[in-house]
Amino acid sequence: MSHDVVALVHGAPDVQATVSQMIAEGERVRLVPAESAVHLCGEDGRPMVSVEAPQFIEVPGEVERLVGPETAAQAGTPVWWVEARAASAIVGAADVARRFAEQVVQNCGGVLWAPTVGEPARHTPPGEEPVPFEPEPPAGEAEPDPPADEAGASAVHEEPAAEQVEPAAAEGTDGEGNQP
Amino acid sequence: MTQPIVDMVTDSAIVVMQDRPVVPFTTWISETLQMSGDSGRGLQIVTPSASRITMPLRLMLTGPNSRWVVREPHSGEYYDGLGGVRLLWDGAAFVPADPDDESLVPAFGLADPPDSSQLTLTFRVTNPATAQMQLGGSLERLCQALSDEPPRGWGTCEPIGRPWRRADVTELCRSRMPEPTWMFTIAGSERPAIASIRVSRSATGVEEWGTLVVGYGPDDEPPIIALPDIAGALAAEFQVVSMFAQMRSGRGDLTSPAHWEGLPAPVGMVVGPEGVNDAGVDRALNPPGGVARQLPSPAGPTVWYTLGDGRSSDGWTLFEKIMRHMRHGSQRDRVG
Repeated sequence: MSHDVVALVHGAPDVQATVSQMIAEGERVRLVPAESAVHLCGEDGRPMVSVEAPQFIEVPGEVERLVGPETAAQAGTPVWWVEARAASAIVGAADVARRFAEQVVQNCGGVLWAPTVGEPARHTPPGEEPVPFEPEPPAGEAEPDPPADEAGASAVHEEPAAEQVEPAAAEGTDGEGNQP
Repeated sequence: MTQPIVDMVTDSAIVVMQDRPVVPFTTWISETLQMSGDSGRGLQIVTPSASRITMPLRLMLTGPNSRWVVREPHSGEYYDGLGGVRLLWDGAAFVPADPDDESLVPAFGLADPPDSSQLTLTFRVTNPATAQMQLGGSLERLCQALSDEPPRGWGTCEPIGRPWRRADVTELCRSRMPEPTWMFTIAGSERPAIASIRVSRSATGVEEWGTLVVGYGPDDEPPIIALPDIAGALAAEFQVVSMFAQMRSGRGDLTSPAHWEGLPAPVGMVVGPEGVNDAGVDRALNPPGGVARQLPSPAGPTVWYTLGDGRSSDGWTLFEKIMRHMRHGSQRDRVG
């Protein structure tokens, strides 16, 4: 499964409200502000998912350039770009990132994009060669490689990239661009 | 400060994994790059071999020990996505497997070079530090000349979200002074053009260091012949310190694949008043080869040098000869 997921939505997204909604529905995470993002942390306090500040994309062609024509056609312009990235070393983090993006799409209307490319970057069949991500990192700075079965599972191709979801509540594309 | 989530931090590198088809310079990568620079580490981005990287990411991934690491799917080997040398994990970072071995992994050379091409202009312009000064004018002029449109968007990372307005660009850079500002622009609907601009204060004003890359399809004729005139129009309006133009084969969409695309070949360069006066105007106008042409510029003597046709690598030799010729002039003046 991919570690990056992007919600391309029409209504102005509210990251904090979306996470609160997930928590109310039983997701066991908490929200921690980070530099220009927020982190969704697990019960042990480790950051599982980072969510970048939503960006309002007003430039025609830009979504297509980065995610391809099919998703771009569904997303349209202008559109809010909400990107979540899962910590690759934490089992289940990619699912949390995806559920978050799905919730944003459900709330604001739009399309979800999760990248699919030939073979995942970190897939290394067990026993084939030393996995380069096994060295012991300085304590507290990085996590070890996920178990081999996790890496193996990530070799399975994703389902089709884009899913159209109708807005749960009709919202305008108001709001201001939030780029620095 | 809470750090971005990355896949691995060692003493010498920050390693991140990306499995997107097109890997852009996102906010997250931008912050990770900042973190790696601040801590004296390289940023290493690992992708599958089918991924491509965007021009902004390619232009930013240049620091020491920073590289695009590609995994070859069949052998499981790693190689440098832009250079093709075999890499191995030394326990702290991906490093060339054998520093003395310059041979490239077979996977890097498998695909045919594209029949489309890219023109790259690197330029440096000084603006007076006045209240009325607006940045981005030189880039706007070049985009208009080369892609038939002014930039349509700008931003400090990708996606590039904001509509192009020079006042907005200027305001951001001003608010960040004396810190320099990096930004990216996109232009050209029919002919893609992407630029990075670094804006910083200098002793004489506000400098813009730009790299503009324009893509040309197999049937497009790159404007090699028109470049001296385009440079002349730029020098007539702006204080051009220097400019360099080169061509190479490359994808028309300006992304970089993890395989060989060909070597760049020079087209020409502009030397501004400082360089020309340093060498001496007569000397600057009489290079040891190629064609020199003085460009009308209110800033002072500015010269265009034709270095080649953008295909032949002979232009590099001529470039070195002209640079030696110019340096010799400035040394002689100092001795005299």
